Amino acid sequence: MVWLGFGLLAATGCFSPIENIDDDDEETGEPEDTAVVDTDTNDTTDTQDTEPEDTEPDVIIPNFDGDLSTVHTTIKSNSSGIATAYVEVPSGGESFLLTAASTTYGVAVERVRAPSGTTVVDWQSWQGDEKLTNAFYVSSTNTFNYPMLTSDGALATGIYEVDYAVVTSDNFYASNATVDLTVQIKEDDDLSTGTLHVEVFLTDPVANNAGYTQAVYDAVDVWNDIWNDKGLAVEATFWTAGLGGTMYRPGGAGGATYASLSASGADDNITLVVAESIENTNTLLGIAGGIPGQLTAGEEAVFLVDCLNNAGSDGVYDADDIAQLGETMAHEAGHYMGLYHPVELTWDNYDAHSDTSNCVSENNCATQLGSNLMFPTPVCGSFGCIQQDQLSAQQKRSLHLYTGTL
Amino acid sequence: MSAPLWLFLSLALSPAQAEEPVAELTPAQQQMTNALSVRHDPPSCHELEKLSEEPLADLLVLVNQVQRPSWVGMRAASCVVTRHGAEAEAELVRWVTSPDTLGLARLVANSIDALPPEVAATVATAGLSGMYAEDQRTRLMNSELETVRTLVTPSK
Repeated sequence: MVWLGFGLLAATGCFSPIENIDDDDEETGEPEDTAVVDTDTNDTTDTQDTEPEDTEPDVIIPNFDGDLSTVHTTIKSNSSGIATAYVEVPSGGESFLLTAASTTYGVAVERVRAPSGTTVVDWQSWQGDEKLTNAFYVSSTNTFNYPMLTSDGALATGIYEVDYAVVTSDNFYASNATVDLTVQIKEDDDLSTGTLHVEVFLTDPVANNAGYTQAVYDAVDVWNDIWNDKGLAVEATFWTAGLGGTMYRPGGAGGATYASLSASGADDNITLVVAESIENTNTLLGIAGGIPGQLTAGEEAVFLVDCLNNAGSDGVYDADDIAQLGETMAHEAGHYMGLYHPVELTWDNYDAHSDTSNCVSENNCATQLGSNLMFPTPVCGSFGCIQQDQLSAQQKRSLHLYTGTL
Repeated sequence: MSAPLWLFLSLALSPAQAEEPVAELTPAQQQMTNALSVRHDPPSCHELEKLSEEPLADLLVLVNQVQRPSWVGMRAASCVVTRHGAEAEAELVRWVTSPDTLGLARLVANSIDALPPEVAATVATAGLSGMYAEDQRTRLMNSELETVRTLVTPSK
């Protein structure tokens, strides 16, 4: 079901405060590739020198409001440049989403240990031809959802330890560096159904063009239809943002605007910005602010879709155009919730799901994955385009495991 | 070497499934279509044109003939505007005035500053006297070209 609401939001240009560099912050020039590495990701107790230096770690205790707990805190890196988040998962906890951010440093997830001490995620096990999460890449805002894969199993009750590398702009580990951290945990006793709350912002001239506006409403219905047989529902609230001019990709020049827009909803919402075009080019049909993206406000906490290119040369949305716009929304939302393309266009790079084919050629991939929602290109001919609305069982589970799916 | 996707599709689907006949694309045009179909990160116009011996002619075929996905024609049109504005002036005038090219008209007006100033003035003048005049005017007001701004700024 799609809920329609209308409102007017003035863009206020909220800027995040700039964090002062701590005088105590130090650089430690130990590159990651010299570290001793455990190559067995599933059954090995981590023995690297990333143990907390404090004997009593600050455990992040959940604080539930309904099915979702959101806690804001800070963590600090040790002398090796590793900041560890100690996340207490209660009984019934289904998944957690961590958003680490710094205006001074880059952060990246290195590994995760379960309450048993077993390392369950290690970034160095994901350097091959399969992708698990963008959280392994250094960025100023880093979002990490766990579990992601069917093979991850259910969360255990107890304290998970998530190690972040904290690095300087010239790629050295930074010791004693403070990182802002938001920890969200969801409780969900039924992973076969779930609802995603979406704040949809229509920018000018989309908002004041009846053809565009109706197409967006209809496309959200298409998106919802695509998801319904997967046990997912979209609950959308529509806003006219009062924003014109060029809409940039998440972060960068558009960051302050998107931080403001994404702050408007609750902590379980994701934010969709509908622009006539993105960066005033015709190359971007849609773009997500992360794989996965964050639920709380931030400069990258949005995904965007374009209206002009999806309408085509006649500028009029017919049923096929609306279907493709809806698929684009669902595709970008899939990225935002943690899905990669099952195969990239080089036909040699894949997602981490074992039930999406690791096909090796254009034709082979189109045959096996062409109807998959996350396929990187539409499959079209004189007949039109193949509907891309399918997800594998593991892809579906991954969407249900996204912490914003309640 | 594997057969391209378009060949797979044409073999996999019977002609009876085609709703209407369309002129067949040349291999170069089909390659360009495939390159522009992707959801993310299509090639730059410069890279795209390396696939063709007659870039402008092939781009115009894509604009006028390729219906799906809808963004292929738009991306091709963007390359026409940014790289072949002077040569394609008559075509651009058609886009901003014809009854079935509103999307192209908007694309041209949004990108008017990418055209040589004299071409931009000609195209803008046509657009402002055409069926999309008001839609064109609001977009052209964002232009930084003096030759265009004088057309949309009320005279004192």
